[in-house]
Amino acid sequence: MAPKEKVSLSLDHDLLAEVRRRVGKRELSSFLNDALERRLQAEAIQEYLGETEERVGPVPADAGEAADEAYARRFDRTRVAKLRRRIVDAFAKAPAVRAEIAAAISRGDGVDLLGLQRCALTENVLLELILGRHPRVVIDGQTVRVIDMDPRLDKHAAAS
Amino acid sequence: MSELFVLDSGALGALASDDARMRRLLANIVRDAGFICVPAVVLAECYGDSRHDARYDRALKALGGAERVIVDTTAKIAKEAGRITRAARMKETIDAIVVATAASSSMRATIVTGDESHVEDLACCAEPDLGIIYLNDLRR
Repeated sequence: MAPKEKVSLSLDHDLLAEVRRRVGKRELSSFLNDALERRLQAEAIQEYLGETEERVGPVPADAGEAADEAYARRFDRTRVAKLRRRIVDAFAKAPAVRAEIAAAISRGDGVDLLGLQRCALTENVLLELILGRHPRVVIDGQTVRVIDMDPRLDKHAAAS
Repeated sequence: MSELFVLDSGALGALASDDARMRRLLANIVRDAGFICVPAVVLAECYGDSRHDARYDRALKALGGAERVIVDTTAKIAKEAGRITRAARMKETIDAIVVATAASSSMRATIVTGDESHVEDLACCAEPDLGIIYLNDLRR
């Protein structure tokens, strides 16, 4: 741990009151320390970006767009990976097929995993409801393609 | 609440090479008041070749200096890395420490990595939903 030093500061009264309200008196030093760390890092990065742009040129448009998209979608992949893992676990257990299918699930040849998540599927909604017993599936990126849907599920779909 | 971005050796290497996509990511992170850290164990993968050590020094300086950006592997992080490794049935200890460093943060956290399969498999065994940015994806 870095050595600490006591300092005397003059801060805006309202600002200090807001910080104390949020973090409490004991955490004030830690809060200010974190804020200074972030500010110093941000300034160092800004200096690096400016210096690098002068040295090697600006970020090309296509590279910038690719990075922006990856940044915007950074939480999608883990959510999909967790769902994929759940599906694999469900297949490994080979559970019985249930009689009902969640109405919100699309009945196409593929199932959009992120769509499933948006439909508020939880751990308690078994994936075999969607995919049936011993289905043959191909997991391709965010999509699980169902090759053989359980016939009872097909019947259910026909009835509905 | 701001977000923590944890860099692995591939990400630090990209920064050391002034990779354009990495530069844009840094701009986005600074814009959104995120904070970047590098687990100390990552340095073991990066350092050792005297031809490249200075580049890594420069990359750490770009993030505010080693004393600001390097995160030690605490007992809490190491234990979480062990749990994640076993849950994922994998043996990539360094990748697991990177994931555990993100998972142990009190902030929302994202891993910036060049190692797609390992990190994704490990991250889905972590309790919080972690963000992942794959540099290899960006180069396609």
